[in-house]
Parts: sequence; C-alpha cells; structure tokens
Amino acid sequence: MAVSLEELERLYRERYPRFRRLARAMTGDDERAVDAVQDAFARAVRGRLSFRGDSSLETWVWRTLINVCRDQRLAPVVEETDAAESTAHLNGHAEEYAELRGAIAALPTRQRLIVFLFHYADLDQETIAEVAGVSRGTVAATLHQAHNSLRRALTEVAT
Amino acid sequence: MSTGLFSAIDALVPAAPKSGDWDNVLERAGVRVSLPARSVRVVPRRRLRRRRVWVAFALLLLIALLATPAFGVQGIVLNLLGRKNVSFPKAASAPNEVKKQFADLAIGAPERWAPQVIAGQARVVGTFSVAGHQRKLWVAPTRRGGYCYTLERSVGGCRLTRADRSQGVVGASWMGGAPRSGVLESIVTRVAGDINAPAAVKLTATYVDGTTVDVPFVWVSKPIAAGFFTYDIPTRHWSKQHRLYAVSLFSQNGTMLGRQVFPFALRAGPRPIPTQSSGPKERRLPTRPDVAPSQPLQQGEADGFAVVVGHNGSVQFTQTGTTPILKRLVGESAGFGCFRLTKEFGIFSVLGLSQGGRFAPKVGFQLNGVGTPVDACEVQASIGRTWPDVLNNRAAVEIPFTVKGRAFFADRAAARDLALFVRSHRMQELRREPPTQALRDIRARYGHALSSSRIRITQEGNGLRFSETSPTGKTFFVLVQHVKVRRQGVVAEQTRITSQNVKPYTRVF
Repeated sequence: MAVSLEELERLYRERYPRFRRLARAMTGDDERAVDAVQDAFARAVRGRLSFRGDSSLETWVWRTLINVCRDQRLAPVVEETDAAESTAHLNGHAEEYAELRGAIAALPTRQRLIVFLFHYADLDQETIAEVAGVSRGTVAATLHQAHNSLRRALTEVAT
Repeated sequence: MSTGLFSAIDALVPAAPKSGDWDNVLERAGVRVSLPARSVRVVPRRRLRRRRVWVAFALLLLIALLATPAFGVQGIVLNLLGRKNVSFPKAASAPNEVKKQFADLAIGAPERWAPQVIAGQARVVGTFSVAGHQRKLWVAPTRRGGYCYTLERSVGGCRLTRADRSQGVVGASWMGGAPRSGVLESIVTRVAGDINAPAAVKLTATYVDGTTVDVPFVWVSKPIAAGFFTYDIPTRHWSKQHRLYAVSLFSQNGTMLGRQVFPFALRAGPRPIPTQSSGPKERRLPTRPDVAPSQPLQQGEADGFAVVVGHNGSVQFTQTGTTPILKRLVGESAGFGCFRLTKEFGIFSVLGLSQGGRFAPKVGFQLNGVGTPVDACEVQASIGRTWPDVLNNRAAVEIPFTVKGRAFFADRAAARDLALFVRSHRMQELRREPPTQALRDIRARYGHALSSSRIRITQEGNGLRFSETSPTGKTFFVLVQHVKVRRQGVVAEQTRITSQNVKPYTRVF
C-alpha cells in the first residue's frame, strides 16, 4: 500500500504547525525544528512506496519526525536550550516558567514524549498510543503521572 | 487536570507558523520540482532602450549618493559591507526597565569593580537576529570612559574604563554546543561581542574548512565609540571539520586589526554531575564582613537576631536568642540579607543583597552596590511556602529600620498569602471550573480556612478575582479568567491569570 505525494502534501499543509511545534519542543530551536520537519517529510516522500499501511499515514509521519529528532541526537530541548532564547516568547515571564521547564526536563523520556505529543502535537490519546507504540491505558496513566509530577513541581516552588 | 498547568506547558513552546515549504521537502527528497512555465513577454525595442537609460541613470544616482555623506547612504553601503554606523546621541532612549537593569549591574559588585554605568543614558542602538528572533541592542556609557552593553535576552558585557578598551580589539564571547544534542561543547554555535577599533569596516568569520563569511556589526558613535555584533553560526558549521576557527577584523585597506581564535579541545570525560550534598545548606557563610561596619550605624533586633549595618555597607548578623523557627533552621539553609526600597526610573524595586547557605548564628558580609541606609534586614527560612504558610508568610527574622521597611514586610506577607493560595495545587484545578461552580467548590473546600484568612474571592466577568488587603491598606489582587483562544483553527477555552499586582513582592502562576 503506497502513499501518493498528494496525500503527503495534504498532510504537510494541514498539520504543519503541529509538526513544527513538536519538533521545536524536541529540539528547542526553531531552525533545527524546521530542519527536522523538512527532513521527516523528505524521508516520508522517499519511503512512500514502501509504506505498508500498518498504521495511519499521520501516525507513520509522526513516528518519522520523532525518529529524525532522535537520529540527529537533537536534545530534548527543555534540557539544553539557551534559556534566554527559548523563553523569548514568554513576554518577561521566563523566570516563572523556569521551574516547569526543569520539571519537564526531569521527566523520564517516555513520559516527556507523551507530554509533548499531547500538548504540542495536540494528538488524542488514541493517536498518541499508536505513535508511541503503547496502549491507550498506558498513555492515560503516563499523562496522569506526568501532570502530577509537573503540578507538584510547580506547587513546591518557593516564593 | 489543571488548565493552569496546561496553559503554562502551552506557553513554553511558541505556536508555529501556519505553512512550511513543501518544495523544499521535495528537493530534500530528491524529487524534481516542476515549476509552472514562465510566460515570456516580448519587450518592444523602444521600451528596452528606455529601460537601459533608466538603469544608467540609477547607477549614476547611486554613485553620486555614495560620494555625498550628507545623504547618509554611506551607512547603508557600509551595512552591506558589514558595518553600520549608528549615532549614539540620535538613538532612541532605552525603556525604563532596561535603564534599571543597567543600574542594577552595581548590585553585588565590589567597589573597585563597580561599573558606574550612567544608566539614565542607555539607548537602543540596533536590532540583531538571534536564533531567528529580533533582539535589541542597548548600550550605556560609564563614568570612567567605558561602556556596558546588553543584547536583549542574550549576551552583554562592559568595558568599564577607557583603559579597558585597549584590552583586545575584538572581545568575542561564544556559546558552545550542547553535548546531549550531539554538538561538542568546543564547537562555536553563536559568537557575539564588541569591537574597539574605529577603523574597522569588516568582521569576518573563518571556518576550518577554509570558507569565510562577513559578519555584520554596528559601530556606535561617541561616547560609546565601539562596535557590536552577534552571529548565529549556521548548523552546517557545527562539526569538527567545518567549525568556526576565528573572527578577524579588517580596515578599509584590508589590514587585519585584530583576530580572535576559538581553540578546539575535546573534554576528557562527561561533565561531573553535582551531588546532593553540594546544595546551599553545604555552603558556609562568612562570619564577618571584610571591613567592620562604619559610623553612622543602623542597629536593630528582632526574632532572636541582632543586626548592625554600617554606612560603608558592611553588615553583621548575630543570634541573640532562639525561636521555634530558628531551632528548625539549624542544619538547614537560610538567606541573610538587607534591602533598600527604591523607585528607579519610575519602577518600584527592592534593591537588596542576600547571602544564602547553611544557617549560622553569626553571619557578616558587604552589601556592595545596595547603598545605605537600608530599610530592613531579614533571614529567609527554607521551610514553609505552601498555603497556609507555617511561617505566616513571614521571613524567619524580620528587622525593619524604617516605616517603609515595616510596611514592606506586612505587604509582602499579604501578597505571599494570596499568591500561595492562588497557585496551590488544588486551586490550579478549581480555577478551571466555571466561575459560579468554582466559587461554590472553593468555599466547600476551604470554607473554614478562608473565613479566618484575609483572602476574598469574588466573581468578576467570566472569572474569579482573588484579593487580599494588607494591614497597611494596600490591596493585592489576582484575576483569573476564562478566555477563548484559537488553537489549530479551533476555538478553545482556557483559564489564565489576566491581571495581577503581586510583583515584586512575590509571584503567581
């Protein structure tokens, strides 16, 4: 079951902001995020004829994007990004978000990926489960656990 | 789940642009892109001749403008070459927040290192692109013939005196790669700094693969009389074989005025991970200041501590008694500090300095840059900070010297009480509910505690207004509202803190 260029182009045009945002979250850098999304779709274009249809096209591309980020060994950003840069859009509230940034960075890899897919890729739990290769129940439990950790980190912040 | 948490997570990563470059994807994939054929227009011979005349005229005009400094075009051309001249006196004044940042550079600096920045003269002298963001460059002169600069949310530095200007024609600082991202720390990913050679017209980055690129910079006129630059090294040069080797400065006739080389060194092993025992409570605080407090002295005592602050900024804390809180602090970390309440450039601020480390009965240090007389001193405890606060929102020791200082402690306690309540775990959840229901649930959950507190909650518009009035009469508030946001083309409702006035006493999220 091959995928046509048109299908990929439609997915790219419809979902670009989400792909870009996830890549930005994973890489911590706009330039690298653009690069990752372009490379992921380029890989998908090249591999479109071997797409087996085991999952939906969208799931396949999400996985490709995550792999591109990992292959390039791009950092989970919140850990590595220059804080000044990555918080530029926070309009002077950077300090207030520093704890959250640290808490996200401290999450286990899978938890962090699922948090990213939920918040930045804006995927439902069903799709996250497919992308992450886990059950829907695991996604729900992981999200619950991650949110609790983050909330705890926020509420424990000193005045 | 908490919308407060969700919106905070949401805010960490900015929304992405709506469209990408599909042709570029195809190019990367090696798929040939067929462009629509361009229509060929036949231009009549007479019109072609007229066009040539216009081109010749434009060329002549350009040459004339270049030869005439009054047109100011030289600056533009210099900009094309890399240098852009900026007149400091004509540059726009920096915002008050920035002026205050320059003024605050003095805090903590020993007297001989005090920058003596003339913060009121800070100006905006340029805009640079840093990691895809437009960042303003602010500079301010110092009283000793130097200058300080700061690039918005990025690097900054000072050449405090006229003599400092001669120490390196190019003063480049650089940012290295992040090991976990696969880029070696010795690889330069961004270079920024200042230039102290008035004859400089070109700054060139040279890579080890032999390629070069001209780096644009601004040259700011007197009294700054210096150049500034920042440059993001393209990712293709983030490898050992293609990394940045040096930045070199050239004059108009090609003479090299200065050069800074970036050495490459592989780190022997991974960076050591700090252990738990290296926390603040392991830091031993100095028991006395470098110099004894000088006359006239400010002296006070409260909550088991006495403090003496000298006119010279030397401060000495001495324990004189004990309290339940002080007993709990033994072996824990604490912050000893004093502050002055000021209004600089129209901004109310707490100008203070504190030393954090293991709690000790005798602590002394210098309040460099704070100035005297101070309004108050305090010992901050490392315990509490959840609502309701066990320390009643106070520091472990509060010693006010002035009416302002006393009022500050009272106001901060009220602001903290409010902030700790609004940002508490449970409240983060309740804030998501529709206002009427949230109000009902908050009362059910906190009814007893709330009735004995000063916090008031009222419905305001599509949200809740939390407020608390300090014994001084100052009312603090936090307004949490349900707002509609468009996300991925879908309108969704979120709760956000749309207005608050608890800064600079505390913070709320």
